Amino acid sequence: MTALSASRIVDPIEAGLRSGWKVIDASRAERDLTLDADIAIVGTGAGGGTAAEILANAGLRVVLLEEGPLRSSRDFHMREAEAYPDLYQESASRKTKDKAINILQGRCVGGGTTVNWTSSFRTPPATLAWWQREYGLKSVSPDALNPWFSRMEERLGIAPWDVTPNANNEAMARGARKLGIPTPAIPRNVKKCANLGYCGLGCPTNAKQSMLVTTIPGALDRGATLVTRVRAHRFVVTGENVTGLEAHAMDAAGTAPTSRVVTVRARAYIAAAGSIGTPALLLRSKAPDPHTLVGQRTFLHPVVLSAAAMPEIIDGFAGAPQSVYSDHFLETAAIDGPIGFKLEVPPMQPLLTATTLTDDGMQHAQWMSDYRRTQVVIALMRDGFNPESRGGTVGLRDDGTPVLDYPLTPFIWDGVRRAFHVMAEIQFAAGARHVRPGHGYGAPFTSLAQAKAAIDAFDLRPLYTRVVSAHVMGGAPFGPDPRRAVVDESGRHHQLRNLYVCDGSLFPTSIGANPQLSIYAFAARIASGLAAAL
Amino acid sequence: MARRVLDADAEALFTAVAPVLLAGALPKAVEARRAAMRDVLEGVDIAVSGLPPSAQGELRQLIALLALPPVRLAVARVSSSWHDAAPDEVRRFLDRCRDSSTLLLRAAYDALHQLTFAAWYGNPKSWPAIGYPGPPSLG
Repeated sequence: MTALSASRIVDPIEAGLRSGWKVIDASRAERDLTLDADIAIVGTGAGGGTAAEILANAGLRVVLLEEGPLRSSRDFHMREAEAYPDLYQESASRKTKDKAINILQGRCVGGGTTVNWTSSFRTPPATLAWWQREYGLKSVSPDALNPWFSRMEERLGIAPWDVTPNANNEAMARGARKLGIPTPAIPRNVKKCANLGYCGLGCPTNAKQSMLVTTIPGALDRGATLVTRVRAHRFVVTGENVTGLEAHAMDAAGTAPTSRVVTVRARAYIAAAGSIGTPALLLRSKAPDPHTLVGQRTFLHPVVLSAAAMPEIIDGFAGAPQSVYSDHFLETAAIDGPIGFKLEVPPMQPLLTATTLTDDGMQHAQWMSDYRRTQVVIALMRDGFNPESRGGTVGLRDDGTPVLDYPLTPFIWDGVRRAFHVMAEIQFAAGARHVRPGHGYGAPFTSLAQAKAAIDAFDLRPLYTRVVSAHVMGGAPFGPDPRRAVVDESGRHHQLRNLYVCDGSLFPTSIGANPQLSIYAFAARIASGLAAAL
Repeated sequence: MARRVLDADAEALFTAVAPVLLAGALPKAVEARRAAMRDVLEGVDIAVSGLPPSAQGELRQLIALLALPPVRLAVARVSSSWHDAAPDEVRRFLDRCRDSSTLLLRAAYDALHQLTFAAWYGNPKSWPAIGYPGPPSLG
């Protein structure tokens, strides 16, 4: 174990600010601001962060806009009550329109990469093949993408995690093994990881190679300007070009805009605000959308869970949160058949655990009194590959903020029911004393037969079955055909010459794996192409 | 106590539902329980104040709806105000929301559930009882 001492952790943000980085906290702006740049980038997550470094390294003047705050390792105290309101969209309780799905999305410098759980998968070849075949994407063969995956893996220290999994992961692996289901190790973007388990609250040791400690410092070292606490409101569209970006300063809590306006004038603009933020920005901008594609087909990898009481101590809050996975239920079925799912486990800090369990009162208290022995498996549904899986639609509320309408259809519930069966089988095989799928309430099931009979009878429905998401994808897809895609394969908008999309919005379906490395690779390729073009 | 955003209706509702949702979780000793409830209400207030204006508005409407006597009576079968509701009346109200065929009522239950459990289990006072040691020390 790495010797940890708060005083010896190098804080690249503190050092950079001392060295004279150009960082503006718009919540403190006393007047409106106007900035000039070669490139304006909206968002500092996996897409915007990756693009910023590449473009700054090419000698271009980059301005980065971020809705959330700039924090650093010294601010990451591993406390949920502090981290969720500060680092996540809507205090980590962003909901779909009918409130049935809770969405975890970062809102801070580094975006989702600052708070994600470090799982780093290349885009599955089956997904790429589907995009080639169904969407005519010519540039997405594994051979064409390998150099971009390799480049970002090297940049971010992505490698298989060879440390013993924590007990939460180990229990899933044990149960799966007994059923003959393989659980390979997850590659993670970490260097000298101390295996603490608090990735979701901001890495306190800077081991996680998020955008916050890699590409954004890289871009700022090369003279980029970072404006925080500012929400991009609209691109000013003039003919076939974007001629400006209007953004609104946020208050210090990040909940509401102030009256201060930040204007950026640039040669090119990149939307990298995530798959809810980017479509919303395009909608507010009234960007040309002749085929009504913007915000459509937004995917979530809807997640359901199963909790188990194990005989041994699990302590799912300690140790790398995700270190093994199973794609068995993706790989053994047709990609466009009934919905398949990936199996992983989540981190289990107390607030996240308590709010995710579906029970209340004495039943809930019983689970929490067994907190240290509680084990949770999650199933991530691979949405977007079947004609019945059309995802959701991003729209705008009266105040211009986005809302995702994502209907939970019988197609998805079918997968949920199968996932509940599988997760219970794995947990009982691992030795669970009892199991409670994340649906409804009442006494947990003490045998597999009892659980399976109950699961078959579940009346699966929104806000009764717990559904969450940490992966938002799609809504501004790339592709050669303007009738089916918002941007072309270079990331450039089909109707606007100097506007690019560079985040998970690009994907015409979900990824079928945690998406960060997919976003890194496509962002690196798009930004490199743009750098060459300018 | 001065609140950031919770109004009297909201305060009364959470004062009624939190002890029922957290039955078995809150401390049993009278003084500790009272202090825990103060913390839960403060935690809910802080959490709601961190939501965007649209979400705060929706929540405010929902709470105002549940405070209307005819609605309270129809949905909750709670005839008195939330202040005077007995725990078994509150329990029945929560069950009816949770099991309702109306999505709006299930959303109301979910909001109460999420805010209450977040307020308690985000609070270090809740941790000893569940064996959570708190975040590790960085030395």
